[in-house]
Formats: sequence, structure tokens, C-alpha cells
Amino acid sequence: MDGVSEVLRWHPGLALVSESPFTWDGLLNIPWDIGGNQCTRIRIKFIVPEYPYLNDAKLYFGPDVTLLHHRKFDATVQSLLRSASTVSSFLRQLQMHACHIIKTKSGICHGTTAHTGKGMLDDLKNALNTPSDVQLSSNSNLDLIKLTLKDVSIVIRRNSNSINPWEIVTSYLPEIPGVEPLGKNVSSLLDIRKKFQMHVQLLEKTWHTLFLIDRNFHVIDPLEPKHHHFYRRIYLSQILSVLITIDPLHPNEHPHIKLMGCNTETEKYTEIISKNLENWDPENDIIQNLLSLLNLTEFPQPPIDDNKDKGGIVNDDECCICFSYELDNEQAPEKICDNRKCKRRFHTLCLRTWLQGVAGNEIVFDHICGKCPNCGENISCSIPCY
Amino acid sequence: MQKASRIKKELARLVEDPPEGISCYAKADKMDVLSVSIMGPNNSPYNGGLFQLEVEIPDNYPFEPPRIKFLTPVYHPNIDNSGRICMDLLKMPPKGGWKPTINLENLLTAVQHLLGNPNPDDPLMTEIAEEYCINKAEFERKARQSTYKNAKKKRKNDFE
Repeated sequence: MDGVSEVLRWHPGLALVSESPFTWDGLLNIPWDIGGNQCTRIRIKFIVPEYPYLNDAKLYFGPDVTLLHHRKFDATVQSLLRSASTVSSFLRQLQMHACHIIKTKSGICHGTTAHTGKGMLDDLKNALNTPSDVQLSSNSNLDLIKLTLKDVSIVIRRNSNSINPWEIVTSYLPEIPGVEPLGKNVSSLLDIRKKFQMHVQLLEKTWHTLFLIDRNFHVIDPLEPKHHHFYRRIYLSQILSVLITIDPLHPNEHPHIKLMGCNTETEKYTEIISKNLENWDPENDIIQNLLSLLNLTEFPQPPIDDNKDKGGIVNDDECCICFSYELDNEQAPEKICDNRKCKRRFHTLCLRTWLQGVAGNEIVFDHICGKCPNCGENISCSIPCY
Repeated sequence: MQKASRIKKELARLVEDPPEGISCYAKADKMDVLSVSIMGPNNSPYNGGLFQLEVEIPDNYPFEPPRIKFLTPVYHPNIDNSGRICMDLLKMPPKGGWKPTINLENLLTAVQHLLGNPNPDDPLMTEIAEEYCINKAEFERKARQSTYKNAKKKRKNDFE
């Protein structure tokens, strides 16, 4: 058992996982400079059925070791296996050989070379050792880091730039006018996390204000508000809505207001709002303020429409030119496109009007030929004989 | 005769279930002229701007495309000084791509998309298109400046 303890002493990363057959599994250190500071670790599994002899011994590498799968390297490993007398001497020679390869083809041996990885790991360690409300998570390769605070998150990636080593991959955090963007002037993970936290805290009040609007008013745009939406278009009636845009740094001040709708209505409300605007009180909550601004006592709700189809604007049985089923008490759309993938319906009159309106369509006897306005395949339509 | 019922249906839909950043209403009771606002798309120099447009529905609609015009000045390769838009969908075939199966929502979304994705190969403003291709940073700076000047709220109490 001397051999086993020797392996353990020199290769603490390798564990003896089984004695029948003798199997070592774990990480082998490959120190590739003189001081031993630069070190790459490779994953190996070493099976020695005839222990302590190396006959029929097999060596497997982890999936991340790409270069070592090279055929020449395999051959060398086989010859080392034949010539070595003990497990520990074989491992030592393997170390030397791998070290030689890494030195000559530095950097391409391992997925995450120690070189760029080290700065990243130090940075990560610093960040993890400093407590913060921001939650840190990462993918399995450790190349993307996600920062999350109060359901807002950003994803960042480490690059090779030494001054600005973190770049933003995706961000659900909006840019705030007048505040330095998140990705600028950050030298470490700690910096960017601090800045991220500051931005989120800065916007918390704004989001709460917007949340109140969403809960109380019928918002027609955006349909699914995200953190970067500072505007809400509120339903007032079938022919009028109001677009309000909140200043993210002053959510309690009166927002930018724009009426949208039919002219007569917008004019009427413009007058009302100009009159009420000076009564806006930043101490009150936004709902109170908005209601009094618009001379309302309750929140306008849209008419409940039971047969509202959430599908396309045209139903399958409707004519896809006039978007209706019956045309001037005429019959249902009777013309169907022959293309089996299209099969859209048209009123003969609608289709004919369209085909006659397009320059270059040919008339053959009593038919006019052209392209289906939905799928673009050939289609023809009868024209009445006079 | 197709026009009236179609426009009514389309408008109702646009009021109830509008695409993000687009609003569309009839200007008056007659539904021939529509007043449209489009928000400048995120990640474009028009971000934060609100652009006014006017849509005229021809009598022959949907057999002819609507006429769409920007009322707010826009610095863009495909939009000229008087607000006309160069877009394939707004022209009759065989040259253009208008089809009666296209609806207003499609068109307005396409215009919004064009704002964020200029098409310098088919420009109305050749100089802007050239600048867009050669010096994009300068183009974006000017477009942002124009948006700030023409399509943004100025400051408080500038209620329109």
C-alpha cells in the first residue's frame, strides 16, 4: 500500500475510488512554470487492474481537455504506460509531458486557462466575500454572471479588457437620463454590483408609482409592462386615451401627459387638464393626482366584450380583403385560394376588384388571373360577361 | 363599400389591443383621416421620442394603400423633409408590395420597425443614407439631436 500513499502525497487531487480494480479519479496538477504559480488542472481517471503492475492500465481524460486527445499525445501516453514501473512514477512522467505540451502550445490546452480565469476568480471571490443584497448566480462555465435584486436582473460577461473587464450582455434595467450608464467605468465585479444596486434603488419609487397605475387604471399600452417602460397609455373611452410618461428621477412630480384620440375629445380634455395641472400635489399619491387631473371620480373601464376574439383580426370564415363575412347582404365569401397551405377566403367581388386594380394582370376569356393577396400563388376569378 | 366596415373593425382593434408604442384614432367622426403616434423604438436614436403621423384612408381602400405621413420631423434615410415615407408596403404592385390583406396594424408596426432599422439601399434622403453607411456614429448623433429637438417633451408644464 506504499504506492497508494505516495500517490496521495504527490497528487492530493486524485482519490482512490475503488480497489477492485484499483481506480484513481480526480484532478492532476500540471505546474507549467518554474515557481509553480501558473497551474492547470486536468481531470483524469486512471484504472489499474493488475496493481501494482501497470499491465492493461487505462487512462481517461475529462471532456474539457481538448488538446490532450491528440493522437500523438495518446501514443506518448501509451509508451509511458509501458515503460513506467509504478503508478506514481507514471503520473510524474505524465505531469512532465503535459507540462511540456502546455508550455509549447500555451493557452489552447484547457477550456478555462489559468491566465484569464484567475482575474475573474479573484474578482468573484472579492464580491462573494463582501455581503450584499444583490444575488449572484452563474452558468456552469462561469463565464456569465447574473446579478439579481428585487426581480430585476442583468447578465454580465468578463472580457479581456483590463480597464473595463465586465461587459453587459443583457439588461432589464433601463438607462436613466442624467445618470451614468451601468457598464461605464466599472473595474470590478464589486463596482458593477454596487452600481447596479444603486440604480435599482433609484428606480424603486418609480416602479412603485407605475405599479399603482397598472393596478388601478386600465392600461392599454404596454400590455406587459417591463422595468424599462416608464410610460403608460391609459384607457379613457373608446375614442380617447392618455399617455403619461413618468420622469424616473421624480416619480411624484406630474408626468409628461399627452392626449390621444379623436380631435373633439382631445380638445375638451386639453382644457380640463391645463386647468387642473397646477393642483398637482407631489405629496399625494399618483392615483389621486391623476383622477383629479382628469376630473374623474372613478377609473374608466373598457366595455366588456364577450365575443372578442383574441385571434387574428380576420376569422377563418371571413373574407380577408374586406375583413367581414357578409358584404352588402351578399353571400358569404365563396372564393377560396387553391393553395392548400393558404386556403383563405374571399368574396368574388373583393378579389375581382383587387385583381382588376393591379396593373399587368391578364384577362383570359371570362377570368382575370393574378396572385393571391395572401400567399402570392396564382389565383383567378370570374368576371361577369356583358 | 368595403372601406367603411373594414376601417371600423381595424380601429376598434387598434384602440383595444394596440401594438406596443403605437396609438391610432380617427381624427374626427369621419374615419378618413387617422391620427397616429409612434414611440421611437428602444435601442435606436429615436428612443424616447414620440412621433406624430397622419394616415389618410383612400376611398378605394383596401384596394389602394393608405397614405402615411410623418408630421413630426424625422432625421432618417427613408423619410423626407415633408414627412413622406419610402416603404415598399405603401406602394401599389407591381412595383410596391401593398396587398389588401395587409392591415393598418401591420403597416404601423412596419413604420415603427423602419424607424429603428433604416433601409439605406432604398433611400429618400441620399445624404442621410450615405452618412448612415459611412459614419453611423454621426448619423446617430444627428438623429438623436433631431429627436430631442422635435419629438421629445421639453420640460415641465409643456403639456400639449
